[in-house]
Amino acid sequence: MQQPARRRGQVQLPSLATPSLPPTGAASSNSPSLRIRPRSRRSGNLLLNLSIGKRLTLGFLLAALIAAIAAGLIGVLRSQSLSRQSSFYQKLLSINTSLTTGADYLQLMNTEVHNLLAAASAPAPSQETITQDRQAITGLATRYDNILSAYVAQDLLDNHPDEMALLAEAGQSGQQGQQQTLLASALRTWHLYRSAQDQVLQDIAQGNLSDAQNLLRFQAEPTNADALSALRALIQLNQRLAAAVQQAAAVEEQDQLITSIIGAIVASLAIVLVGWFISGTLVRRLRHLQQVTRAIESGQLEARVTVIGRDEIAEVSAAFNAMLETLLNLLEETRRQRDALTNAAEHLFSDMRVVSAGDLRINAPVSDDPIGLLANAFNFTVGRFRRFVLRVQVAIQQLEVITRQEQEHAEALIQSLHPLQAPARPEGQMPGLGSGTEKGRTPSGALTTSTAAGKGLGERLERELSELKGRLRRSRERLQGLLDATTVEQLQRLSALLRQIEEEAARPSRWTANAQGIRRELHIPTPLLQQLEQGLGALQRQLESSLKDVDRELLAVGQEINRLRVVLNAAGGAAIGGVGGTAGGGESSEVMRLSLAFAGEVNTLAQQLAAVIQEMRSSLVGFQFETVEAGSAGSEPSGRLQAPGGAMSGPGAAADLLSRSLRL
Amino acid sequence: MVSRKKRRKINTVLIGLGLIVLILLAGCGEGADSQSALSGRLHIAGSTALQPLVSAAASLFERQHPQVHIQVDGGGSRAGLAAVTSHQADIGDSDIYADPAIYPDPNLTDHIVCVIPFAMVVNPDVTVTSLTRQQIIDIFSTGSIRNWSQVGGPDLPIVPVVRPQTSGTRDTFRKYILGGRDEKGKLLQTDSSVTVRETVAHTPGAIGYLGLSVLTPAVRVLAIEGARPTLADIVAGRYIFWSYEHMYTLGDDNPLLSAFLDFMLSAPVQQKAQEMGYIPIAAMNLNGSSREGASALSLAAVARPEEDRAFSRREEG
Repeated sequence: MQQPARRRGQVQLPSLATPSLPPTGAASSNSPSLRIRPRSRRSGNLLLNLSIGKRLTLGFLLAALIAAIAAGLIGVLRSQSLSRQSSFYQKLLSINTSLTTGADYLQLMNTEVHNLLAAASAPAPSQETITQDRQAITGLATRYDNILSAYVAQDLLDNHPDEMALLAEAGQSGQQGQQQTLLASALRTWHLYRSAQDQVLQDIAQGNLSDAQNLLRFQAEPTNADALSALRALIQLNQRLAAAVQQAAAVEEQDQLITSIIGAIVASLAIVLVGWFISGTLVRRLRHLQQVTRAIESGQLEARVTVIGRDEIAEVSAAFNAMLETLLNLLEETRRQRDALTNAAEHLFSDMRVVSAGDLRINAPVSDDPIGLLANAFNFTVGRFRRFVLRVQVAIQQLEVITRQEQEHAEALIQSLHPLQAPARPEGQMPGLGSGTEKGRTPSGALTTSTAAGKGLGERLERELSELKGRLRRSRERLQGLLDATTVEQLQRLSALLRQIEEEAARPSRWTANAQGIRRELHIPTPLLQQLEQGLGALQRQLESSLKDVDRELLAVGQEINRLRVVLNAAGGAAIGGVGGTAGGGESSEVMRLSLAFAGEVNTLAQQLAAVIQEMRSSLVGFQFETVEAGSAGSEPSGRLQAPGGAMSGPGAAADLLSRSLRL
Repeated sequence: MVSRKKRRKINTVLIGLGLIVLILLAGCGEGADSQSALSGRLHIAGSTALQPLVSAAASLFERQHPQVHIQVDGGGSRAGLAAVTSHQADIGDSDIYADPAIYPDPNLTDHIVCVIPFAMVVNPDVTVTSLTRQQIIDIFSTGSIRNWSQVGGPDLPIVPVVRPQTSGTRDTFRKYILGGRDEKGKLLQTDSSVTVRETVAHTPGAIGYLGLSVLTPAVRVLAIEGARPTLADIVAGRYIFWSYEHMYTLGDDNPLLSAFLDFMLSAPVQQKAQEMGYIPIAAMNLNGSSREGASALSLAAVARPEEDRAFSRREEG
């Protein structure tokens, strides 16, 4: 069952309009479960687990973050260097102010010492002025000392690494050594001057005015000048530091420009990388999806999308895979149904062929598809037809029995005539009578009254009877063959039924959406059925002609029998005349009576036979003509005989036809 | 497949462009840093005490920069200052500070390149090894000590050798040792440390002072207050007879000038300075020169008047 179906299916495949499936695809699609996420691999890329929207947001945020960080870093660098420079400048300014003030103090000290000396050397020295001057000088000295101490304590470049860094940028790191040296020299000269000044003050206080004068002139003033010079060098160092800071600022500005450009390039590269990465996660998989779609379009049904991650593309890919599975399953299901239908139709067709070969015992397997319904109707029809044939067979057997009775009767007559003929030989009358009786049936109809002729007539009559019997047997055989061949007629109906069902199938109102595939499948056996129909038509025509032959034969037999009866009647009349004419005794009257009875029996036999044959003929012939008449009476007046299948256009006509055949 | 390859190509092109831009930028940065070769002339004049070092440094500098020609002259500290303020020299070497009253030009910039220690030297005949400041004052200024026997030496009359007024060394000597007092003694006509050395070497009982840069074994070095003119004593503030060596310029915007001044402070020259008897400026410690130097100076200043007074009392008495 399975093997021929597969073979037929493969043979049928090219005629189907569907694309041929490779065997591997068919095998893989045999599994009914849907593989939504069968090959979800590489969950290492966490990005793929995010939805596309989130991923894009992430990418944009990352790009914005990178840009902001780059801009922010550059800005921070710039503002840092600016604040460093500005604080350095501020400090240099304050140092400059304090040092300049210190220089003023030095000069003031010198002046005050001179004033003091002048006041002391006055003729009447004012102790108050001297004290004031002394206090002023001491205060100035203390302040100058404080200025220098503050400078040492706070403003040494060594203690300010950021300023050192700035100077190093300008390539002026040597300034730090210069600062220490100049500061040391300022301190040294200041201490020298201060000791000289103290000495002068002491001399003045002790009244050694000339010593004080000398000391002031040769020691205090030069050392004051030295201290002033050293301080001026320190102030100039300040200016040089300012210039160095400016230089450093220029260098830094260039650095910052380069940093900005590098930062911009790096940031844009990073942004491009981010974009590349994000788009890579989208585009590559979309392209994969597209490739798979194209592969399936070109017939590679086993191609599947690799599902990665948990985003929209992954969902679409999974849904795509599921859709493919569903479609393949549907296709397979349709294929199976089509194979089953083809198989059933084929089986039914072989059954029909068996039936058309004369075997009416066939019983087609019944299922609930349309072909099954067809098979059911076929079985029903075949059953009906089988019963009809049985009835015909019974009728023919009856006919046979009757014929045999007639034969026996005839033989009995002949045997009863034989002993009569032997004693009457000398008379030569009896055979003449017997033969006369027989001779009455001969078509030649030569009426002789001689006994010899009578005997010859009997022999001839017997011979003609046996000839008639043989002829009847032949016609019966023929009829039997015909009866077998009358299957054709039923097959014709069957083909009509097939066509009807086919038309039913073609009608869209009956076959609704649930069996659309099947409707399409029903087209498939149509050529087969048409072929069958043609064969059936040919067979029917052949049978029709042979039926006509038999009919004609039967007609001839009937005419012969009629003629025989006429001859017999004539012979009977002659025998009666012969008996009366020859003035026969009791024996001859007995013969006459027997002959009369025989003639009567043969007559009834002929009548019965003729009736049975007539009945058979009329039934068979009427059957055939009834079909045509039913077709012509059904709807159209003429031309239905040439299209026996096409005449049966509706279920009503089919039912009518069926009932008619069942009535037989 | 093709499009992916193409996209990869575009990416590599982008990265390559970025790298090229970076390299160009880096090249620009380096190009800005590279300096042009120095060339030109420099005229340096002034202190004879500093002259040996400057000459050595100048020849070194000329060797490093063949385009540069440096002329080094002597003449004394004041001559150097006068030359630089009158634009006759680019650099004026000086042992002394430029008095703002005499050189009021605000552009006159002080560059201290090293320290020169001075030493009291005597004729090798004199066996005295150490003098106090007061003894030196008495020898050079008051004249109360005239024979070496007064300070524990041989019976030799003391011959103080005095340098002319242009000498920076003399200024230092007056300020730091004599405390502003005038000198009396054999006045030399030329201001040269070498002359002082030769004079002291060839005059019996002579005493003078000179920079260590011209010191030879022909003269003997005396300790002052027990301290000798060594690096350790100077840095510790015990030895006060030393001076900064200044190089004065009128501004240093000239690249050659600033390069040479930087060169003077560089390690090779400072090394050379130490070899020649100077003290590298880096060795001078700020604390040493401020606190202890101050105490040394004030001690001298305070101690002197009392002795003075004693002397005067004794004289009065």
